[in-house]
Amino acid sequence: MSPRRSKPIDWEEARARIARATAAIEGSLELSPERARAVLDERARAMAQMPAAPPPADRLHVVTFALASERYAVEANHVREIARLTAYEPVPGTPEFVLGITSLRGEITMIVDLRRFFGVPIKGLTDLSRLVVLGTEHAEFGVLADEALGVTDLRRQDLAPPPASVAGIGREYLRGVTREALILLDAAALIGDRRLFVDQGGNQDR
Amino acid sequence: MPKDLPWHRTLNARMGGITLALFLLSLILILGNLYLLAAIRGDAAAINFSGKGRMRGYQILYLAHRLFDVTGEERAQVLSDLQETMKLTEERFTKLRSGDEALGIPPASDAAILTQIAEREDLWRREFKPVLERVSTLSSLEEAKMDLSRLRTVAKRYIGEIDQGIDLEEREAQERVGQFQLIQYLFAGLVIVVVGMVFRVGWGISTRARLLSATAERIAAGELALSAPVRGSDELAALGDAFNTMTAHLRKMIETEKEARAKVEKLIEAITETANSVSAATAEILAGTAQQASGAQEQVSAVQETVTTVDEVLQTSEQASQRARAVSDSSQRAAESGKSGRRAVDESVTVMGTVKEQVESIAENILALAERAQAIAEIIAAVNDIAEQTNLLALNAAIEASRAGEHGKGFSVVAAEIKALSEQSKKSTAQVRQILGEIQKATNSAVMVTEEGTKSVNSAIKVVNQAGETIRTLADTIAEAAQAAAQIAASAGQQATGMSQIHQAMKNINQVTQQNVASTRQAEKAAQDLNAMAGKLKTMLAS
Repeated sequence: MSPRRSKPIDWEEARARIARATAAIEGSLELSPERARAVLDERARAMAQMPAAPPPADRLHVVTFALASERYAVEANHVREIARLTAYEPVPGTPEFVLGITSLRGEITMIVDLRRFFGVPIKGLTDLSRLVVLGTEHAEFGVLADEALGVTDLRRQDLAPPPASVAGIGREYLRGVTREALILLDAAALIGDRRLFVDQGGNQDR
Repeated sequence: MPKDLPWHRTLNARMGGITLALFLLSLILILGNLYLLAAIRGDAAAINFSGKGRMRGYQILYLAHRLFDVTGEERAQVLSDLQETMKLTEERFTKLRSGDEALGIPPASDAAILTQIAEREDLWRREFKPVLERVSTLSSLEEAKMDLSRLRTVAKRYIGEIDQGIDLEEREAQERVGQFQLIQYLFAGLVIVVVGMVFRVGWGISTRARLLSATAERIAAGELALSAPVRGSDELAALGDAFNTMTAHLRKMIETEKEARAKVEKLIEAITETANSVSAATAEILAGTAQQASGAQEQVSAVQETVTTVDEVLQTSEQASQRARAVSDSSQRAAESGKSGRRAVDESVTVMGTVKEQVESIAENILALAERAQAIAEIIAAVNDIAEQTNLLALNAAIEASRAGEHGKGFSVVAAEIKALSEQSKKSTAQVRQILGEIQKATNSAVMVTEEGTKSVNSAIKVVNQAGETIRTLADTIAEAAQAAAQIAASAGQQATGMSQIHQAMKNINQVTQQNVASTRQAEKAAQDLNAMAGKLKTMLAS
């Protein structure tokens, strides 16, 4: 929309446009019977197409999420849930990668920043609005994420071992990298790591 | 004639008085003559009447004698004649005594005549009449002889009486004639005296006049020392006095004339000197007039040039007047245009005010729209939140489904569907947000534009007001210019009039200048004449 118009306004056209817009808005609020039927038909077709294909054994159910400019994946059976991070409290005396704690339906959950945990340099702006809560039987801790991307299947042969350049502390938590640069984390290892376990007894060595 | 002369002394009065006296005397004489003549005539009549009485006496005597000569008819006739005659005789006495106008007899006035008449009457009554009556009764001559003789004597006495009376009357008449003659002589004598007086007065006048005339002649001949003789106090005396006064005056005049002559001689000397100086002056005047003539000639040409210039100026001023009128007209039209311009500006200001209000209401509408858009944004945020939560729910459902393994397969499909829907709604909300952002931008720019528009309208109003002010000033200026042009037109008209007057005046001046040239020539001529006259005068005075 230009601030200055060289041409005079055609008021007839303007009125017609306003009428059209009004009609469109009114039309968008309630679907026409044809449109509703079309939507329902399409949904039914989509449902009907869903084949009862047996999940292949070589496939992994993973939950993918984005953090900074990287995409990560964890096995779905190690994910308790994905929650929104609305508020958290920093806890003094915790390691650097612990952002703080938050309450998930009354349960105190620790928030881990994987970038700090892996020593990835922090750059760029992030949302950090999602929390991927890991755990098998019960929630262990939440991993900070920009966005939860979804649940997807991943073939095992697509996975490549982590590149050799990735060394140091983080290597034992990685299971592989796909061609799409999706990093599959070893959730079990993360859960099992003592450093990431908040003990009630408070055995904090770092 | 001197006024103090008494009227009775004047010659006129004297001569007139004499003449009047003569006239009165003549009148008295004539009246007296008339009276005397009447008396004389009466006397003559009386004498005649008395003579007739005598004849009556004789007639009576004759008739008395005749009475006895005839008889019968004739005697009766005679008797009646006698009685008639007796009667007439008796009547005569009254006629004699108291006069009879028919016969021209005056009543008797003389005492002698009256006594004589009385005696006669007495004689008649006492003797004559009784005898006569007795005789008339008698019839015979014998018887009457005595009486007849007595009658003759009585008759003689009676006639003698009558003669006596006639003598008396004649004497009286003679006396009267004598009186009449005396009066004639007296009158003649008087006339002679009067004529003598007139002659005497005339002689006196003539002598004195001659004397005066001789004196005047001698005075005229130059004997001014003479004085005229003055006698009496009449006109001639006054004339003599006047002569004397005149000679005295003349003497005095001659003396003054002598003095004057001396003065005149002095004057002539002065005139000579003056003639000399006049001669010199006329020479100078001649030179001057020559210069003046050439100057006047130059003036003529200059005046003609001026006339030409004035004509040109007149034309120019007429053109100027026309142009000024044209300017006045056009400036009047301009003033009209200025007025309509001002009206247009006022309308523009009104319209601008409306536009401003409308723009402001547009801005308010747009702000309201923006606020509504804000509400939409909030709703969209809510929808987005719902979508996100739905997405999360779908994710969690998918996770739960995958954990459930084969049993969660259908559920995972539903979860994927829900996730797709949530993503779709997220996309839609993103689109809506984008649209809202665009709307926000558009409203922002619209508000800005309307603000600018309002500002523009304000400045336009300001500009229009300024324009109105300018137009008003312009209109005023134009009105002033129109007035000035009208004044210029009027002035130009007046100028044209003035120029034509100047033109006329220059023409007059030209005429006057030409007259001046002519006059200068005349003056030159006059100066030359004057010079010549001065020369002549000098020679005359020198000789």
